[in-house]
Amino acid sequence: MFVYIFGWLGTPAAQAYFASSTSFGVQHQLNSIGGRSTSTSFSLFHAGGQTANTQATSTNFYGLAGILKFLFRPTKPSYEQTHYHWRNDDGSESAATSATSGTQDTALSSLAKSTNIRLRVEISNEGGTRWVYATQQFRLEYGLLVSSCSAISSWVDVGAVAGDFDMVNTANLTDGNNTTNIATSIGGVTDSNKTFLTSNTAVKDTSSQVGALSVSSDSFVELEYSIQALSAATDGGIYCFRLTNASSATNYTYTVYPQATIASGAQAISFSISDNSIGFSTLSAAAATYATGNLAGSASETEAHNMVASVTSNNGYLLTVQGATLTNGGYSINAIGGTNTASAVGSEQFGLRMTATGGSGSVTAPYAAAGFAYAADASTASQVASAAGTSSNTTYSVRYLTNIANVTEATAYSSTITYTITGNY
Amino acid sequence: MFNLYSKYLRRVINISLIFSLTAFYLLLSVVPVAHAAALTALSDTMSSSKITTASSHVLKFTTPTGAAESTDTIIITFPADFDFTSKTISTLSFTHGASTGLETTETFAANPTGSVWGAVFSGTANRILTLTAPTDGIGIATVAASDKIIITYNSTNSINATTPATSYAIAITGAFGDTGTITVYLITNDQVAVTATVNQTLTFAISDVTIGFGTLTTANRRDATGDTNGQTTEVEAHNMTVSTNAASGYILTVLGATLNAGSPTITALGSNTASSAGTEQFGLRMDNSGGNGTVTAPYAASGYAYTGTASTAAQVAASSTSSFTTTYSVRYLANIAGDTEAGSYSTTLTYTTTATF
Repeated sequence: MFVYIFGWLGTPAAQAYFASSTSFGVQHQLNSIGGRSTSTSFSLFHAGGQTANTQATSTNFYGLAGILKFLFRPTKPSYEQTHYHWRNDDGSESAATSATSGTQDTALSSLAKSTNIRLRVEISNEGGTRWVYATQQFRLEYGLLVSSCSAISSWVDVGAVAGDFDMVNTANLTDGNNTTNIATSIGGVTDSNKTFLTSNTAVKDTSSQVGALSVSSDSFVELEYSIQALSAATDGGIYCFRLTNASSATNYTYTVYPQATIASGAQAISFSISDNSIGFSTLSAAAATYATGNLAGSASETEAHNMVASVTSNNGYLLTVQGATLTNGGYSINAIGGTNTASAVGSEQFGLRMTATGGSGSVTAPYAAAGFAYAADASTASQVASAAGTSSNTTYSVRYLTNIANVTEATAYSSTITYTITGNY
Repeated sequence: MFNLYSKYLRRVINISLIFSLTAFYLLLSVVPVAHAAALTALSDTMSSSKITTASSHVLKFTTPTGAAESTDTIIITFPADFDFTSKTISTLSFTHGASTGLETTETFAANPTGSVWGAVFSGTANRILTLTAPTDGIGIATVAASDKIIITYNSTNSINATTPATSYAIAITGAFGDTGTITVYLITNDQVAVTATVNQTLTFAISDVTIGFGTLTTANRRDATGDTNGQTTEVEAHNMTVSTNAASGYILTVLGATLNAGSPTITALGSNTASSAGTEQFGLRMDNSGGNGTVTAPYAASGYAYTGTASTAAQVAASSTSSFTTTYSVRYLANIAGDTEAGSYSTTLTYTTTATF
């Protein structure tokens, strides 16, 4: 981009200067000549001049007399996102308060999910109206910050179904009403241009896109959106916002991006085991034996102990078991392995199965079916249950089976099984 | 017209300012800019959730920002009560990568170098671990934005906190800019002790306790039969079955004198010997089938033997391990010589099974 300014000391020729390109236009001055011509790629403005070699200034303008040649970008519009202000949803458009202590362009540090918040954004046309000037439908979009807001490649319409944010209808606003030029102290923003666009229909709470507006080159508009972070929003994640023309960012410049950090979900996790000592008592090659909490064993399936797990986390938890099968020195009872298998009297089998009640936790295969399995060993953990997200208490009823063969070595067998819960955040 | 020029001039001045600011920014762009973001996919897989117990920690998280500057640090802070006293950086590992987090393994030293991350424990009981990026910001490979990171503490000198039924939050911070928390939960006992007993078993049976050769002759061998008549060809006189769950198996012995009629006796075979008609011989041989039991020499070959006496047992079979039922087929041979005293010969053989549990 180049800019030339110079005075023309001699008598100007009828055609003093002319140039064109695909990226700029030319204005040249000829005495007492006015008019313009345009093409799809540039604009050519003619303007009359004055007597050369004088200059006057005031606080409002520069008056350069003489022959001036300006080489500049065409006067297409430049919609600049210049300021924003987070507001509490605690009053009308003109009465609500600032969510950032009256300071504009301040990121929201801890936005709770499912809580109304209002975002006021200012758009100023810092360009012109001479080229590709058209009405705009300002749409609010969001993206999860990774390195910077400007680097976000995937922007999502706040009004889209589901996602991390959504518009929220509030009794404090009426969708389609006009915003007013409120004070910064209550959530307004600094005027970035000469004229506030008063007829703007820019109060939004039911949809994310404002109706068609013409924002001329000396104008700005303030748009206010009532939104909510949804449960899918990333705990602790920083979100950036921007306005587009119904998803198009052509001719848009983002001087600032509103930012909001989702409140870190209060992580919580709990886990308990009802009984740390269970037993089969005497095993038999003629009948299956099930472990019991009183160590006496049972000939019918029964709960040996239970475990209760809960978590507050979008990504839930994993519950694993680790430990050798029933063993005594070099002798052991074969673990069933990773396949759910029915009891087979007379064959060596050690396994467990679980059922789940409450919460959103569930038993993981192969421990969830009617048969039994045991895929862990002394050095390898095996997942027995999990929850995919936040879950209240899930009670896992754990049942243990052992069968032996006639040749299963006579001895006292034991195993120490370790259960571990891992929260995923 | 003047207004138009005035507007254009303002634009020119604005553009000039933009040029200047842009240039200034470009000059400043060599200064690294940190971007804060929330870590994602955080977890700590522990080997034990039991209080006051050594436990490994496998800390996993994804960094949106990465750690590619020499000034970057990653700081792991365990809460109070966790004890890493005497823990050394040699018990740590650090891997990262785009897919699994295991793609690249970085190495540690007390101070970072061009290819090595610095790792220093500090704070009470070494609860703070500060990892400092290599001086070139790269190390083995750059910790890029969106990398998965796995930092592992083995269980050596990694002692869990002391309060049961309590959540503990592990903080991840540092100059790399990203932050996150991992909550773990400790309980009094995370183990279930399981016990079971297998009682000892030993089974033993003899199919026929009365067998006989019939009348012995010098011209032909005689083989005992269950009907006591005997015959001149080898035949099973009776069988025995043995099974046990004794871990060290069993032995089967025979005890008893050779065939005798009071003082006269028929000579027993001391080693495995083929039948020889016209010569005094008393012996037996056995075959086994099923289970793990086997016939013991000298009774296992095709000849015959009898080394037991009235007072000394001879082992005829054994299993070195627990065994399903083994069936021993027992065959008895008797031959007499021309001077073998006439009489009614008999003996009582006692078989005994002894298991070793």
